[in-house]
Amino acid sequence: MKAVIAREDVGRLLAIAARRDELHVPVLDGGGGRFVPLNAEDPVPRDGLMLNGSSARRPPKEVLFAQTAPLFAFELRRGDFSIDELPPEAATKVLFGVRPCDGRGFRVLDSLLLGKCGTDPAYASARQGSVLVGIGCGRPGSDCFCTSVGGDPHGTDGLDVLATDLGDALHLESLTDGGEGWLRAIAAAVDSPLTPANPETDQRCREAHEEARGRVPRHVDLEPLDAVLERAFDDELWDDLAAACIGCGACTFLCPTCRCFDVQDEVRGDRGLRVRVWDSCMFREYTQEAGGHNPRPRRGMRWRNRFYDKFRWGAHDGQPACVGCGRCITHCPSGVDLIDLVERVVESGGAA
Amino acid sequence: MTRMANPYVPRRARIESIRDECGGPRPVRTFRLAWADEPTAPFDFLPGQCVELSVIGVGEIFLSIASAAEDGDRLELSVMRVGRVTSALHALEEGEIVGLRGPYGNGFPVAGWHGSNFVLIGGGIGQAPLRSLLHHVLAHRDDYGRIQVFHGARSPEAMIYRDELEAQAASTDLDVYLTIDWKMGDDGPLDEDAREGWPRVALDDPVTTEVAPGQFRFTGFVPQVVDAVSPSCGDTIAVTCGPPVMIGLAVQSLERLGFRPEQIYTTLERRMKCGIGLCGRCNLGPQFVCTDGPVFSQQQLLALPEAFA
Repeated sequence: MKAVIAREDVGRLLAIAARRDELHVPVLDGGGGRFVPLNAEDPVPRDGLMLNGSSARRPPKEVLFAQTAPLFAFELRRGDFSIDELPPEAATKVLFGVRPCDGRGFRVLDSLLLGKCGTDPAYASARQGSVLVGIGCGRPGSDCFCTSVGGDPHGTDGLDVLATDLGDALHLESLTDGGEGWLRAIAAAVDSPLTPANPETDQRCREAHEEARGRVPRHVDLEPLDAVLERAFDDELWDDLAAACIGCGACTFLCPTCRCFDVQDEVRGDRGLRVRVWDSCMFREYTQEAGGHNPRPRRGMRWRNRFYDKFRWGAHDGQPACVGCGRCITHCPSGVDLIDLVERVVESGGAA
Repeated sequence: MTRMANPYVPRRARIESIRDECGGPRPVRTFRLAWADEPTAPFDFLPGQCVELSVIGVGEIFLSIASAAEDGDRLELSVMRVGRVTSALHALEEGEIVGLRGPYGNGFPVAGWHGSNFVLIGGGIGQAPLRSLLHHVLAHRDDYGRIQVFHGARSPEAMIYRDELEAQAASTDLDVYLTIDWKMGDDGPLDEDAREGWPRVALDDPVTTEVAPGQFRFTGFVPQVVDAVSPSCGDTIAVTCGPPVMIGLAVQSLERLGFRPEQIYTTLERRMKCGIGLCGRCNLGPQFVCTDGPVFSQQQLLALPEAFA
């Protein structure tokens, strides 16, 4: 299904969406932007909705894969305990305004958390029935390079609905059964602001897609990378590449495809929660064994692991596990530039 | 939607007994566990498989099982006190309840080893998964050939399973070789530290060591004792587990003896959290030690990054 909505009516659409499901939208919140829940009675932030321009600093992964999520609750007794399993997420989550790179990011997260090994129940229940309403990037951000990693500013992979910004209106197109159901339900609401698409809006849509593709500011040629990585593992270059890194882990926390986590017990009195908490392979402690051994004691080794994981080991459907959102570049406090690193790795040729 | 079982939730298990294996700064205790809730679901596992053990409120650790399924419906875990969870575990008493989930990991491919001889090479707490394998093999003794067990520790007092291994050496057809480390000085091993009843291997060239008939105690690093005894590689599977340095040297010794990479197995340790291939940290390149391992052949490891890190 295709539909069009006037720009000034987006707030009404969100109100309808919020009546139906648990709605999350990207909002400029003073911290560079993140997805927040929007209730039906909430006023839509007029200038704060991040539906065009740069993407939210924090990707939407935290809506479905919370930074801290309880695995189960427990009660401690003398020399014993009991466990309370927590009810799974009941509400259907709708994420409105997901950028296409982040939509692809969920594909990668699905392969990691609903994978062949095990399934994370909290992610599975949050993901179950979720609707990702994407919005294309008419003006990609300054470090975006999605087209170099198999994406597109209006790519559809991983999304259920794609919205295209036509300036005075948004063009909405459903891409999956879930997206079709959601869009039909919105259109069926008595106060629905949706109008049918027509050949003219279709044409403007195609033009917007074409223009946006030409506006992706950064490019990197990954074609020669795999052959280099084949032989570069033991190269000395990794310590050099990691020299500027301060090991803060921001790149991994802001990455739409990173999912590594720690498991911790949080206790108050005789009650507690076992939680999973985001962790980062850029931290020394990540692989530090209690007995003293650490297989990745140097930062260069940790960089190498992340780099290989994004561009070789984690490759999925023939595409890297990097979706080209550029956040790790834009927000690195010491100016480490992933594209620059890819080029330096390729230049090295895997000399070792 | 149907509600899926939560794989993170452990089952309750009671500590039936606690055995001190060794003292010192890194004491080891073996905990014998029984399921605390009836009815107990069957818990079958292969030697070399692992469990996640919880001290609820403190945390969870990934451990090789130290017993075999053939030992009965009790599970034994040998735990060295090195960190937060292991310290909390060592503070528990018999009758107290811990959390247990598993079994995890691939375990040793014993079904494909029928008819083989074994050379087992363990150092310190690394002997725990080898004990599981040994118990399994002894329970199916007719399926396997000659068994040689090498086991080393820092000192006789720090040697875990010593009584059990010496008893097995006396009552079964196992060939057991126990060794304690050289005491190191600035210029190498300190001669005068040789202990009564633990003869030294030849330092310069361990292969030239004269091994007396029936000798089962040595002073020397584990791989040096392997050199001294020089087990045959014919129709033999070698399995080694211990500190990474020891594993590396043991593999070198085995290769000198003619063992091929596909005859050599090890079981790896990494920091682990989830145990089910989700949390990411135990990767060897694209594989996870918790699900693809912890048992790997040397042939597999040669193709995996960071396998010898």
